[in-house]
Amino acid sequence: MKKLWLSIILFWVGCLYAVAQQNTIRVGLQLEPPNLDPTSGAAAAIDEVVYGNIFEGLVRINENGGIEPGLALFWNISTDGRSYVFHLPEGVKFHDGTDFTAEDVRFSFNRARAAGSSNAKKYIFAPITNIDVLDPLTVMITLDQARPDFLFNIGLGDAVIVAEESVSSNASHPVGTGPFKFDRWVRGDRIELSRNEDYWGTAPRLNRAIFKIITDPLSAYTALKAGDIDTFPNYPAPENLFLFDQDPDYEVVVGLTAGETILATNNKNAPLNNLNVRKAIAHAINRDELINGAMFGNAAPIGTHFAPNHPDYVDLTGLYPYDLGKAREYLRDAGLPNGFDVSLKLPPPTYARRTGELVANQLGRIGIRVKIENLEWAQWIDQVLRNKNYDLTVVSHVEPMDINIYANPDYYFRYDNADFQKIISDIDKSTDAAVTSELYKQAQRKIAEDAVNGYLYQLGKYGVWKRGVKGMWANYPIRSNDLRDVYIEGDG
Amino acid sequence: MGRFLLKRFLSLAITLIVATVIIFIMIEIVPGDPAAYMMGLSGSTEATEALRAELGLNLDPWERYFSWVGGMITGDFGISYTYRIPVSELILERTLVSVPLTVYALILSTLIAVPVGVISASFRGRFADTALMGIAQVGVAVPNFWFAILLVLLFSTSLGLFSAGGFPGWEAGFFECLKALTLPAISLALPQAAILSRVMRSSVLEVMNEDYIRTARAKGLSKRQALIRHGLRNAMIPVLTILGLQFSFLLAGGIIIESIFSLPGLGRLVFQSIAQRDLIVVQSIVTLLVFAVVMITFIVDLLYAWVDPRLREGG
Repeated sequence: MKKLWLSIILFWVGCLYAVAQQNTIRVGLQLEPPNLDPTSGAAAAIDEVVYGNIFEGLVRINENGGIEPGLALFWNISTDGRSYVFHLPEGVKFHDGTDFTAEDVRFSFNRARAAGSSNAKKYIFAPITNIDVLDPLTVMITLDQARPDFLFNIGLGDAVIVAEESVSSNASHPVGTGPFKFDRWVRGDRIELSRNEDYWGTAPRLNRAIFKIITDPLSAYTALKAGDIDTFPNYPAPENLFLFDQDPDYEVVVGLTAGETILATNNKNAPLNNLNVRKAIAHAINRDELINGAMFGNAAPIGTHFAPNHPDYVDLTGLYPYDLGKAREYLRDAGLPNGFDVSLKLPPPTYARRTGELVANQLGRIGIRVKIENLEWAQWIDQVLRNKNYDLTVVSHVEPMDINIYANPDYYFRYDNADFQKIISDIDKSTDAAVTSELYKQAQRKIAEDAVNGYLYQLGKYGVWKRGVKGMWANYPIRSNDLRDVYIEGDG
Repeated sequence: MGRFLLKRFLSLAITLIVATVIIFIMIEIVPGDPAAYMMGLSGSTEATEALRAELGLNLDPWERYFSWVGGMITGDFGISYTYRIPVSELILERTLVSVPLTVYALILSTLIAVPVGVISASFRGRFADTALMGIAQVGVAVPNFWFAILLVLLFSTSLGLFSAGGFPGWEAGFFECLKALTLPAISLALPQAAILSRVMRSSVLEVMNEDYIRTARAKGLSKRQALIRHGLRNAMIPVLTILGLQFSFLLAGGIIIESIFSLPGLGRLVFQSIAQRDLIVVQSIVTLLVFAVVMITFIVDLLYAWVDPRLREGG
C-alpha cells in the first residue's frame, strides 16, 4: 500500500514538473555573450540570443538571408532609390510597457550614427541624411544616394530598434519589442527568456527559452546526450556529428553560414605582393583535403569571397585548381624556385587551427616553408587585424555580404586596387537590380583572379536537435537563433 | 600569540601591495585591447575608440592603478569591460560556486584519504596496504579531466542520474546545487585524495616510530589505542599543510573541471576574462586569489599551533 501511495505521489510530482517544463526549449551556446546590447560592440554571441527574440529591426532577415517585414509592416521606396517610407504597426509596446512609435526609430538610428557611438556597424547609418517622423506610425529615411544594400543592413542586429527609456540598461537587461522578453541571466551558466504575452505579431508557441552556455565541445556532446539541452544550433564538434546522425533520437542539419573561410594574405608583404606567388599558393591549395581533414566533410568549397547560396554567387573554384605543377611554375616565374619562408598566424577556433596545419603542409609541397604561430583572439586582433603584422592567417569572415571590405586599402589584406574599388562604388550607386547583380559577379571574379586571399570553404552550421524540435534555423545568414516559429512536437 | 598575529598581518599587507603592483604591470604589458576584442573583425577604428572612451581605457596607467586599488579598499572593484556590471558582483556569484565546490571536494578527499592512510599504515607491507597504495598510485596518475569525462558518460549520458553540467543557482535549493556539484567534486577530490592518503600513510608510519608512542605502548596501550590517542593528532600536521595547498590549488585550478561541467566558477571567469582582455576582472580576481592563498597559509599556521602547542611558544 505504501508503495502504491508513493508511486501515485511521484506520478503527480512528475506531471507537475513536466507541465512547468512544457514548451520550454533549452538551447546550447558555446560562447557566452559579453552583454545583451546588439547595438554596441560586435560579438556574434549577442545576436545569437537577442536577435528576433528580444529585439526587432524595421525589417527582419530570415533563415535564408531574405528580407521580411519586421517592425515595418511595409515600406515604399522612391523611384530615385533615396528615400524610404516605413509604415509601422499600431499598438506595439516595448517589454517595459512603453509605446513603440516612429520616434523610437529616429532615436535608435540617430544614436547609432552619432559621433562617439560605439556601434560596430556605424557605416550602415552613414548614408542617412534625414530621418523624418511623418506621423507616429510613419517614418521617412532619406539617403545621400540610392543604396541597394540599405534594407538588408537595417535588418542586422546592429540596427534593431531600442527605446530611449531603457537603452542605457540594455547591456544587462535588454528591453525590446520581440516575441520573447528577458527574464534573467545567471552569468557563466544561462540566459532565460519567456514569452511576451503582449506581443504585437503572431505569438510564439514556446513558453520559455533557456540559453545554456556550454564552452567545452565534449560537454556539448554530453549535455545533448544527457538531455540537459534540446538543441545545439551551432554544434562545436564536427568530429563527432556522426554519433548523432546514427542516433534516432536526434536530428542533424548541416546548413550554411555567411562565413567565408580564407587564407588571408598580406598583399603588401614581399613576396606575397607578387601575383605569381599568390597564384602559386592558390594552385597549391587542395580544398577537398581541407574540408575532409579539418571539417569532416561538412563544408562547401568557395573560389571567392561570397556565400555559395547567394543568387549572385559565381563558382570560381575551378579558376586555380589544385595543381602542384602549375604552382611550381608560378613560383619559378616569381623567381623563387626554391620557395620561401612565411609565417602563418592562427586564431584560436578549432577550424582555424586544423585548417592552418593542413594549409602549412600543402604549401610545403611546393617548397614554401610555413611557420605556424598560434595566437589568442586578443593577440590576433592586435597583431593581424590592427597592426597588419602578419604574412598569412586563416579566419572565417562571418559578416554577410562583406565583399566590400576588399575596397578598403587599409583593411588587413592590404589589397589596394582601383578597378575593384570602382566596382564597389558602382554597386553603392546602382539602383538597378540586374546591374547590381552583374557588378557583384565582377567583384567576385576580380578578387579571385588577383588571388588576393586563398579561398577555402564556407563554414558550415551544424545544427543538432532532439527529434520533435521544429522550426530551428538550418542556416546562419546572420548569427541568429530566431525562436519565434520553434515548437516542440507533443508539447501543447 | 599577539606578536605572532601582528607579524602575520604585516606580511599579509606587504604581500598584497606587492602583488597588486606586479599584477597591474603584467597586465599592462600584455598586448591586446578589450575594446578591439569586443569590436571583432568588422569594427571601425572610430567605433573602437568610442568604446575605449566609454570603458575609461583612455586614462593614464597610474590613474587607473590608483583608482583600482583605491576602489578595492572601499569594496568597489570597478565595472567589468565586457559584462558591464560591477566586478564585485561577478566575483561574488562565481565564488558562491567555486568555494562550495572546493570545500565539497576537500571534505570528500579528506574522508577518503585519512582512513585509507591510517589503514595502509596499520597494515604496512600486507595485502591491504599494497592494494590501497596501488589504487592511490593510479589515482595520482589519472588526469582529473579524463576521470570527469568518464563520470559524465556513466552517470549522465548512460544512467541519467545527474545532469551533465550546469549550475542551477543557490535559489534553486541546497540539494539541487549539491547534486550539480557532486560529479565535479568527485573528479576534483579523487586525485587529491590519492595524494593525501599517501602523505597520511607516511606521516602515520613516522609518528608510530616516535619515542612517545613507544612510551605509550610501554604503559600498556595497544598499537591502535596509542595511534588514536597520541599518534593521529601529530600525524595531522603534514596533512594540514597539503590540505592548505590543495585548497588554494582547487579554488583557482578548477578551470578544466569547470568547463567540462559548464560550471560558472572563478577559474572559468579568469580564463574567459584573459581571453577577452577584461583586464579589470583579471586583476581583481588574481588579487583576491593572492589574498585567499595568504589567508589560507595563515589559517594553516594557526591550526599547526592548535595541533602542536610547542609552535605557539616559538611564534
